[in-house]
Amino acid sequence: MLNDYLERINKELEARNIAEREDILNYLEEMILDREENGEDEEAIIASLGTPEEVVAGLFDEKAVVEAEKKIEAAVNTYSGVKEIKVDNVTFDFSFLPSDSDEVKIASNEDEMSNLNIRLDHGKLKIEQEFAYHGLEMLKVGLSRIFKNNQIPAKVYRAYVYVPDGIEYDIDSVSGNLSFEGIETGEIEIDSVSGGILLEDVSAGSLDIDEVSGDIAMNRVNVEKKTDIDMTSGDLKCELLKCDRIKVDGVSSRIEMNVNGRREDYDISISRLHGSEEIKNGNDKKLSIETVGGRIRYGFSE
Amino acid sequence: MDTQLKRGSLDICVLASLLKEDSYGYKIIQSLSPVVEISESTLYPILKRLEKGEYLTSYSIEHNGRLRRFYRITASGKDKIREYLLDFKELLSIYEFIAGEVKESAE
Repeated sequence: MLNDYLERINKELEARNIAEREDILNYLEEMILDREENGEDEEAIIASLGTPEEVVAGLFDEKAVVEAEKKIEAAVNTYSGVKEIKVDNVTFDFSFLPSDSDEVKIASNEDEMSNLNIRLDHGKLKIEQEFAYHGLEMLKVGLSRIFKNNQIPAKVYRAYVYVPDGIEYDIDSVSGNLSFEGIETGEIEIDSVSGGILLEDVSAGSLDIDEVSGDIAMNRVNVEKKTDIDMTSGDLKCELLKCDRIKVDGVSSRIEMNVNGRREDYDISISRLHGSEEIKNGNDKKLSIETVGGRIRYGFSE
Repeated sequence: MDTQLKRGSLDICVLASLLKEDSYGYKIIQSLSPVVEISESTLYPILKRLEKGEYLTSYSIEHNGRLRRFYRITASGKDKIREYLLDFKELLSIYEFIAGEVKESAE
């Protein structure tokens, strides 16, 4: 059957006056025999290659190359069966975005990706920035702080992580920025030193953020159980947070909080150096904001 | 991604699949399969074009009583990959600039 098929292809090549006949026939024969060696059925292989006319037309069809190129995806690492993402970061900027499948995909350029150590361990996806590289990058970040005007700019490293719904986050970060956009999940826990944090259109079971000097911005965030934010000198700007238990502590932080809900549903406790407010009506919903040296502004959407 | 950016990338993928070791048709298709599915007849003109351009050379080795053609990347083949990566890096910095401006305008 194979010889017959090749002979028909030979006839087709002859009919088209193609000079490199032998070369093409050798190539096709090798391909078919290699597929057979790897367990495919000869008849099925021939069927998949098509009629002799189709095979020969395909060999000289540059459009087929263009069509195949259209299908090339940007190089990404893909992980399935992930339940939790654990990040140990120093300087990387991480963007967490919704995935279009049930797999976690991490995209970065190859050069930057080589600085990340990624492994999947019992449903826990651990993403760590390589230690050898911490030292130098930390030095650069430190120096750029000393020479405040950024004479020694630290390179920006960025990774995009596409995450399906329901995966929990446990993130430790130093100076890298973190953003979560359109994410639906259970628990989000973030420890950050100086990097900024952005949450936009996020739904979470609970939210726990510890931040030292970085700023936090939140837009349209829904938290089912509890929101707990501890800050030192960074600022918080929060628009439309829907949550029944909100607790924000800062030291010198300026805090702006707009709660998505009705004022009369909340027990409110505001504590600042100059002037505190307590409204206790025995409500289930609690809003507690505390800062020593900063300023607090808060309000409700209704 | 824009098709324009991908133009020629299949040739580079084929060359890249030869970096670690010399390879043959069936194996090249297999190693490309995580990135893109191509057929035997799509691979043929690419191999011919790359050989004609001296980006790769070929030789035959006997295997199970028949011949199997192996392909080996040349120095200019490696240069072609390097060139592609550099072009891409330039594009990435343009991307970074555009993404940065978009982000700033949104703030």
